Amino acid sequence: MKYILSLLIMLASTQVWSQSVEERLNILAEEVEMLKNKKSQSAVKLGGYGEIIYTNKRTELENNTKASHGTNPQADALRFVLYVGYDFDSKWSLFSEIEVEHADEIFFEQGGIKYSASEAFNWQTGVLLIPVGITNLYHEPTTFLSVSRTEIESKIIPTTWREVGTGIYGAFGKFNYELDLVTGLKANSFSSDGVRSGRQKASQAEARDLAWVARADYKAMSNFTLGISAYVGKAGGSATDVKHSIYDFHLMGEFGGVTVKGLYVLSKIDNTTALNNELNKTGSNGIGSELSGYYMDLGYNVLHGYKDWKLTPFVRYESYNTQEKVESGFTKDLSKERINTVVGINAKPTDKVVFKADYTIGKNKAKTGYDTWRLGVGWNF
Amino acid sequence: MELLISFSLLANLIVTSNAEDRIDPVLRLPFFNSKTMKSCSTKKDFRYLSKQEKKRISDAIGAKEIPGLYPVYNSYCDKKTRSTYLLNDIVRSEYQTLLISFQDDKIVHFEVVRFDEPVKYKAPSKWYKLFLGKDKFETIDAISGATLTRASTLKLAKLAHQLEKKKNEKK
Repeated sequence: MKYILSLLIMLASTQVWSQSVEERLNILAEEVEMLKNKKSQSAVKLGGYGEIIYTNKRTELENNTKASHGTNPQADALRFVLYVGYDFDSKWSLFSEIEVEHADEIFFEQGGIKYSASEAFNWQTGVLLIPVGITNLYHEPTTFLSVSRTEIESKIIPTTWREVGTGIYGAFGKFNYELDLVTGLKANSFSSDGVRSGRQKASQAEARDLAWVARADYKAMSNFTLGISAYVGKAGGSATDVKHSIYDFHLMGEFGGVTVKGLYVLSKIDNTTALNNELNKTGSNGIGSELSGYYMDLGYNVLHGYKDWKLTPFVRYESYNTQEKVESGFTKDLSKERINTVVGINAKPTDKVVFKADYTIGKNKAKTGYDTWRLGVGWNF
Repeated sequence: MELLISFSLLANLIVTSNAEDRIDPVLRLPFFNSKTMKSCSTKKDFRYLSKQEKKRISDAIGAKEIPGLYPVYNSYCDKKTRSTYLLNDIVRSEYQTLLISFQDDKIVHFEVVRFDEPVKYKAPSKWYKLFLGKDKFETIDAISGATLTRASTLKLAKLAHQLEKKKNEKK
């Protein structure tokens, strides 16, 4: 009896205590995996991007006269942006980007609350990036080839363009969409050179004049996207509010080592006569009633298929006019009709770090264009 | 003495029932409950990498450093065996989790289980199908506007492939 009892005890206790080394190892592995998962499921997200550029504008103009360009050449810590996100739970989250521009200006570049119901339907409110064009949504320096952003996406689509608003976005199969209601631009800061100064940047923004913005992108293939966007609303002046609209068509493609990007934009501002009068703008200094332009980027990664590095010589052709049309009583400033041809090289040792160099041949109808060369380093994470 | 026996048996029972109750949430994923997988019996195991293996795989996938421990789900389906990996990576600032399943050394299932980056950075579902049946991934198409998603996905596919190769080396 004693024997049987001892045997039973031994059997039972071996089951409990004699975990094999393999079992113990698996328990340890589970624990380590749990810790790793905790890290990847952390509610706090960190990211960011930045770019530092060197710009050297040539003093010889197209018409062989000389011009000075203020501080030139110039080295500028153009942008340093930190992204902080926080997941309150699986649906609700905070997003934010704090930007230091030119090393001494701080902006709240975007931020607010998101609700993720599904891939097809999400809601956001706060300081939103206006989903027009290419660069305003894809503005990290690693996402475009040249040192500086295109002039079109500075003067007609004023990147980085952000306003307070609310909207929905999501993806249906090959379509991505976004629809927002946002505060409009400030018309009394428009000029003959475009609408860039009209951004309110969510800083005590005048919220009387609002705008709708809609965007749809169609991924014809995984490596080729076609898209359109429309911004329709009002821009507020001191006394004169004007209707302001922007429509764009854009494409982005990558085929083998070839990168293609293109954009066409048309913008209309009505009642510019009253606005120009209010702002005492006369003659060729008036704000244009129609602004338009297009650009095309073409690059080829010469290391495609050989190395992890990307070395992409590229060319850009950009043509635009911030006074495509002016209302009667005003004349066009021919220097606003510009053509930029950019040639350069873009080197990426990894996808998140980029070194760039380019040369811009700047021409305009008034023959006062000048060339510029630039160097840049950028990153994002 | 009887008391001691009862305690031992009770402890045994607790250990056994705990193991049964702890159902791995991964096995609740639709993939493991799909038609193809329903008849399979799946067991979780781990791949352990030595220092040298970590170095070799890091170099092969272009990563600075990788962990030395990976869970793998081995499924026994009729006469076939499948290995399935769930791997995480940061795309830009946020994580994606991929489920990559191998049979006969080939990828037979490729799925995004979790994608925390904005939806505009996600590739179309058709793109992920390009990984099926492949063991080299460099020629897989780019994704316009989502370079970092492609880079992260390729990295995880290469990692899964290397882990699967290690299993075969073990054989």
